[in-house]
Amino acid sequence: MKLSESNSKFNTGDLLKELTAIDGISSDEKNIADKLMPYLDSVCDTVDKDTHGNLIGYINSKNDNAKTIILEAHMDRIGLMVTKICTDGRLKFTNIGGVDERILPLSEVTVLGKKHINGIIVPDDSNDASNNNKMESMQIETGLTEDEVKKSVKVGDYILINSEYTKLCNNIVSGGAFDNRAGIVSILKAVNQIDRNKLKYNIIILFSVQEELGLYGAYLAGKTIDADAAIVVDVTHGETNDTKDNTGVFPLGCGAVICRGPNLHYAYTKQLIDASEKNNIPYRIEVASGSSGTNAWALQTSSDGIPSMLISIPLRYMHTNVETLKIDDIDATANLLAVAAEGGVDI
Amino acid sequence: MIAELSTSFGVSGYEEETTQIIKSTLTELNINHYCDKMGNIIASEYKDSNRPTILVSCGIDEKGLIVTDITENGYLKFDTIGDIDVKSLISKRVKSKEINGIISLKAIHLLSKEERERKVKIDDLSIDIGAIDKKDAKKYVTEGDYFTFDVKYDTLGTSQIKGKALRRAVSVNVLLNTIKNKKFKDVNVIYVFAVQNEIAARGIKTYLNTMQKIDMAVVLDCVEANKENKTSLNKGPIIALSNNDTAISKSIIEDINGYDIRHQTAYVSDITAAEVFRGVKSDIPLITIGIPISQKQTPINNICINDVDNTERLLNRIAEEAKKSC
Repeated sequence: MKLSESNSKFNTGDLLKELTAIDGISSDEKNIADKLMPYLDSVCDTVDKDTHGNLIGYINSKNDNAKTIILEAHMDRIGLMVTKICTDGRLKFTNIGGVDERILPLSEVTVLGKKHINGIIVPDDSNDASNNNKMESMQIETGLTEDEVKKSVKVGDYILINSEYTKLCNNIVSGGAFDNRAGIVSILKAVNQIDRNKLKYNIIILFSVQEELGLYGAYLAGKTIDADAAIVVDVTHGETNDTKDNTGVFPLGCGAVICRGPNLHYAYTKQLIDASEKNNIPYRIEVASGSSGTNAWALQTSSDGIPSMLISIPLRYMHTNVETLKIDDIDATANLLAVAAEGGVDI
Repeated sequence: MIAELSTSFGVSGYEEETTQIIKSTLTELNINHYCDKMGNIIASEYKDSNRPTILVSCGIDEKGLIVTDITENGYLKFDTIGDIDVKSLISKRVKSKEINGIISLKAIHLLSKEERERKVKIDDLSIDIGAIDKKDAKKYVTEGDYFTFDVKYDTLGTSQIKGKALRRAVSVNVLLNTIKNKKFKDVNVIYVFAVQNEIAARGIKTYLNTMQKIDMAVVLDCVEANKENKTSLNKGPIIALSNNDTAISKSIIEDINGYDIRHQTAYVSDITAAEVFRGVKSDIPLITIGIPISQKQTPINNICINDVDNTERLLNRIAEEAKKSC
């Protein structure tokens, strides 16, 4: 099986940059869904969007009676929400999803009101300097008066934590929402490099909503999709200078991280590992004794059960605006997904 | 101009890029200037010895980071140059002249409860440039290299500007505009664009050590607007008062209070250049003007545009009155 890069329409980094420039905070995924729709249209036989906002694309195999495999990645990203407009034009806010509040002081944000306005998160004057800043003691400086703010912003509007796609050395890049736009890129790359004549299974691409709130999108989609297996793609923790004492962290560049444990189908997962070996795709093994913390947890027990696998892309500084990964790991994941869909995993 | 001054690379001790901008502007304005041994840029408009001589100075450097060590796995340990609130560094983007980096601290999911509650210290942080190991990192960086913050300059809302190094950006801008508009008409004037203002104002110190006689000095800087000194943004430049103000300084300040220009007065301690000045030249009347700034000790600052405009107006007015004051 050839897995030539030239088969792919996309430059991985360019697509990642394009997708991470879009908002799509959990439960307000319209803009990222609109962005992804043409990409799905170009590879799928049909594409649906359910009431909750999940995108579901169908690619049919030429085999009669082909089984169906889901390739899933969530498209939402974490963010903030306006809780109060203060008399000095500043905003109070809360989190949507697991925001790391240590990074918030002096972060730049975009308030996604009727008209977008820019802001900077500032710690309160009276904040105790001896401790890390707490979200309750921070405000967003807008440079506007209360009246000016109220023309564009309402309580409940969502707030994007700004990020900038930045190249470091060794094909390592940094930016926001790599969790899990990186997973989406790997799936789009995979389905674009699959040889349709070799496609053993029907593929359902599921780009789900509200993962960061509690896997809600996948729970809901799982109820209506009939499939024989699922491969969930998400991110896992990348190794950094200060993670020597942590387990479950993976060096950037190690390839696709395949998860084992009761959340994942035992035999299919073993086959994924074998397929990586056979096709010289770099990989590592991660273990989860309970929940994998990903949509595999939701899909595994949806309706009558969907046997699930999990492939993760190692990522440093998860849930910050400088999430960092190595492009090669997205490509390795794409290659493994393509191999699996072409029959590398026997479901 | 403020944008260019903000984004230029000019960390204390390595101000070359900012220096070039100032020098080329002075050249365009056809103003005599030179760099002294410390790196300060001295511009002067000397008319004749019968007129009083005024010194006007501001700092041209910015806070930043310096690489202290490169770890075996290719991360850079660093120290801060100038006072920086360490908590504000986490996950910020930085750059050297050669390479991009980000301030690295492991993901919150990987912290123990105890680690989550502990205040982040500079030793917890490092710069991630994506290097594989020490040898790889050495291709791009060496111990002692400087990093600055990678922050875009922009307006914020209708009334403010935001960016890195606004302290020097607005101060230098006000001074260059004053020179351009030839406001100090009736006096001899020496402008000092001082290096290392963030490092105990050591640039202006060396200049003052060797300086000829002057009759009055104006030090321009930024002052953190806060509840403590009862100052805030958008209320005009802050005339900084000191217990060591001479009688002449006090009378000039009294005159200024009579000008129809919006300003604030406060006892402030964070204009080091003024303290240095008093230490070296205690007998010379000194006026210290602070442009109100928010978040001075962090990678990104904001300043009110009106305050910058009013500072320029105030300095111009002081210039017009200078001959009388001396």
